[in-house]
Amino acid sequence: MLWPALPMLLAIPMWAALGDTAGSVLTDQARWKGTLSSVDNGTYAVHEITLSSGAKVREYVAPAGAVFGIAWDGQFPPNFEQLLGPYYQQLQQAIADQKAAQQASELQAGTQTPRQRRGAVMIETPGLVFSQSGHLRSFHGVAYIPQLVPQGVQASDIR
Amino acid sequence: MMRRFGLLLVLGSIVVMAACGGSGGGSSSSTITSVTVSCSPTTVSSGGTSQCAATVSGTGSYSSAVTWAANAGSISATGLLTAPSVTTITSVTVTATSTQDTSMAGTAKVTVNPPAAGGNVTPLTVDAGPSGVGYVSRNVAFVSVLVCKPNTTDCQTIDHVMVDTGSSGLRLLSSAAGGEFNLSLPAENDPNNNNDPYGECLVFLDGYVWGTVNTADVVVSGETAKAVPVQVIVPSSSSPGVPSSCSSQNPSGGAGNEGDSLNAFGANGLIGVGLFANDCGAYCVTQGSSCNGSNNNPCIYYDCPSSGCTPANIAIAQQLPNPVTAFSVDNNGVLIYLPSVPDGGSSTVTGSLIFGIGTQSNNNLCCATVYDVPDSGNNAGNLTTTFNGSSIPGFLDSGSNAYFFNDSSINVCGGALDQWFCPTTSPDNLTASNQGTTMSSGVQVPFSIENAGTLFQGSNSAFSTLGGPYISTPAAFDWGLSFFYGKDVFTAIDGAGTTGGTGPYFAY
Repeated sequence: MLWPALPMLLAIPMWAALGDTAGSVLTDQARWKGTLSSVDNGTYAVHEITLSSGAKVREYVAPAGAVFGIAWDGQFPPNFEQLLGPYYQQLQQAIADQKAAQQASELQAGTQTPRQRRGAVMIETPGLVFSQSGHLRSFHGVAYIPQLVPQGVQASDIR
Repeated sequence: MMRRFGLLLVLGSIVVMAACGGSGGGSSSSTITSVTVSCSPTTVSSGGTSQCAATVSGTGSYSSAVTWAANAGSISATGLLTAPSVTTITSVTVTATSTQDTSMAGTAKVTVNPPAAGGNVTPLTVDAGPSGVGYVSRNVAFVSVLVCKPNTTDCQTIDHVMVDTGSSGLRLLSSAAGGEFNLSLPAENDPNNNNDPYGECLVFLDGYVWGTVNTADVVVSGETAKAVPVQVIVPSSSSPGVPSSCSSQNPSGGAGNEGDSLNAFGANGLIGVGLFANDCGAYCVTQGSSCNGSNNNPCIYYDCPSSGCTPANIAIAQQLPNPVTAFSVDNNGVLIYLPSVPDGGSSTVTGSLIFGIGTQSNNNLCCATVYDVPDSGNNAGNLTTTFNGSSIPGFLDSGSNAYFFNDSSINVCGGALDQWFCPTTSPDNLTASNQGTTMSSGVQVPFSIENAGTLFQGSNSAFSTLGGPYISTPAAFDWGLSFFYGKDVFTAIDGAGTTGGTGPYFAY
């Protein structure tokens, strides 16, 4: 997966959850006007912010202080531009590529390879893993940066 | 049957000759220990057939022979049940009795539906999709809907409207977006903001639809929803275009507009007849306008004056309802029946979308089991599915086109088919169990998955064995349209009273 380095540098937003420092958790809490609860198990800390919509966002922070993963659940999907910061562009590109390939396959005469309708979304790139599942009134998802996940932590711990 | 040998069987002490049927058993040292029966399909229409089979267990050289009986309809010597004609959903009991030991018998039940007739029934068809779509639609169920300007006869019949138990609200693909709908409906206006017309951005898993909120009379069969809010979906190229707060919410960004073309949407419309009475709820009443660029609240409804769209609050009565709630009767839920399809699928299948639960003679719960689901919280709308030893959220969704679940032991197809299962043994027979919130234990659900590459080779549209990986965290089980064939599946609306209790629940 190519990193769109230059556009990312030009478009650094004033907020970022994924990939940012532990301090950004408090920024997110203030910005999202949510309540915060934190648990630290020694290997990483999980900070859960409950939004006014009732949705919950959990930010997984490594000892070195980077937010290596986030998880969410709620009635509606969260705002991914806010949640993923600079990783949002990378996600959009990966999904656009995936959709284009699926739609091309679907239309290709003779192959008849339909896409899943309403199946979970899963994007796996070397620099970003994203998945979201659910249905109206109940969405769940995770996003994490594989390189930032601390030693000994399983991807499945991010939930 | 020869009377002489019959007499010998009664005496039970003389070996019966094989020519009399059975596997030459019946010696005094053999016994029958059990008779179990299964019939397929388990749900049929009046006059339809279901093939029943008996499994006899015993000791020694016992006879597997059985005699068949049914408490309604007729059943052949080979276990083929011909269902009676019924006026209400009826359970028929089939019995297989061991000929060797008439005290040993087994039973199975078959549900028989009345003929599709009445003002609360409309044909539900799984077929190749709307005219003009660029592919063979797979496992999407459609109805036709009549849409009128309120209180007028200015109407349009829209065919190939997808039926979705996973959402709420009627959404129509405008002709500008590649659909059929081109009536000019009255806008729905925000009484608290200069009567600005409403717009709506509804986000799905990896995309969204955008359009105006209008009012219409919606007529399906004999049911009418008067002057209800509906969404008319427009493409990104429309003027004034999609607000960036709408498109930037979903993972695909601007490319996520599922209403940009008929191929993207896959239908001329979507009728959401799911568990919830409206498509947003309390959040949109008080917090809809508070979504902004930094607080992570979703932007759903908008005020759209000519100067541009801004997020808005909206009363429940003005949100898109599940149209069923707006019918004067038969308004507490729906029943979906699709006939069973054989392995390999069928080209086209027609069943019924029936409105109401326990309100008419054709929508009684009969023999269905009710699975209550939570109406709010983390697992709103989900039952508990246990599969391969793990209990995870599960949901029934006619808008998903297959079983979607995670099982790393099932081979995934290669290449462009990597969203589908290609089990090495096909069909691959599996079992899960489902449990509602008020049940003390789950009920088994047998299902099977066939090789999708083989299924897709022809141009069949209806498959009960189509499945694909659903890699999600946390894991979940999506009982999509594959599940619905050969069953009566009820979806009861949140807060609605039914003969099976108050919704929300699924029943089948």
